[in-house]
Amino acid sequence: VTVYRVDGLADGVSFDRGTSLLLTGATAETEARLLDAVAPVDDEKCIVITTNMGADRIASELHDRGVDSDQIGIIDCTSHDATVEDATVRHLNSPGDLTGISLEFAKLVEEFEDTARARVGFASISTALMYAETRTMFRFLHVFTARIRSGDMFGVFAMDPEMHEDQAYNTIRAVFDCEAGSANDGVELRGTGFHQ
Amino acid sequence: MGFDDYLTKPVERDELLQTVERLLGRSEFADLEQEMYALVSKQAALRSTKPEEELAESEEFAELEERIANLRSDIDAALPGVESDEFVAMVRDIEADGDVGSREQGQSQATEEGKGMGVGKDDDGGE
Repeated sequence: VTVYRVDGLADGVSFDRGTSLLLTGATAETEARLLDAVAPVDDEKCIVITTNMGADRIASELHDRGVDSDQIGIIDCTSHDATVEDATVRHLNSPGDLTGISLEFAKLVEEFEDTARARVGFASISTALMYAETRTMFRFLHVFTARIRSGDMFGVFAMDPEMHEDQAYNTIRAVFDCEAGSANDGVELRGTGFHQ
Repeated sequence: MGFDDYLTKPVERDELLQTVERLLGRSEFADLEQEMYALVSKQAALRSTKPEEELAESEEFAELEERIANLRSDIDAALPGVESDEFVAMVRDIEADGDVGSREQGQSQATEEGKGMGVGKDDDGGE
């Protein structure tokens, strides 16, 4: 299989390896969609970088979606300190610690090395933008998505456009291959790298 | 970036050449990425101020989108196959640059960024 299948976004959509998707909408909405999209199937793994929900909640939400403990890696940038026993969790002090995020990400990828495929979730860009400038985030996301492409992974990044100036949102969205926004009766997908 | 960080001594000739090539690739990536940001900012300013229907008919906007698409392939070609250690090194560089600005200042910078980015302002620098 050379694609990442996603249920819950739209009917039977799959993403090419190396694709990065921007999920836009209200935070509560995109958080649930992001977890649907990054939940690994078969022998896949997932790495979730979280700035709002604690690692314990991410882990339990993923378990609810049928994911095994050894498939989950979490980089927790919140100040929640709950112990999570059913997933590999790394803690960082701030969502603004981009170097820390990249280091922990590299370590988790190394741990998962025996698997060919990994899904990556980042929730959310909106929170990270409170700690880093748009320019810095743009550069970071650019390099991050390049790494995802090289590793044949699938990246899913959440952002709430309502929390930012149009200028910031329109700049950030240019990094991504495709975007899934809320439409009247569900989700509208635009861009490249997916098949419906 | 510290050159020494990338090599363990003694250095083999091939390894040295490879490292130099990689660093040149990263430098090219950074240059192109800067141009990309300028173009994308311009595109964002247009998208933020003009209705979608108007942009769809604008030749200038179409040209801008084409330049961005071309630049995207150039950037991909400059640095194929970004591995984990390189990713970390690049993010470290980005953060070092960004620290000069206003990290940890809170939410205000999202608003700051939007200012002074008027439509038609020649901020792409790369032409």
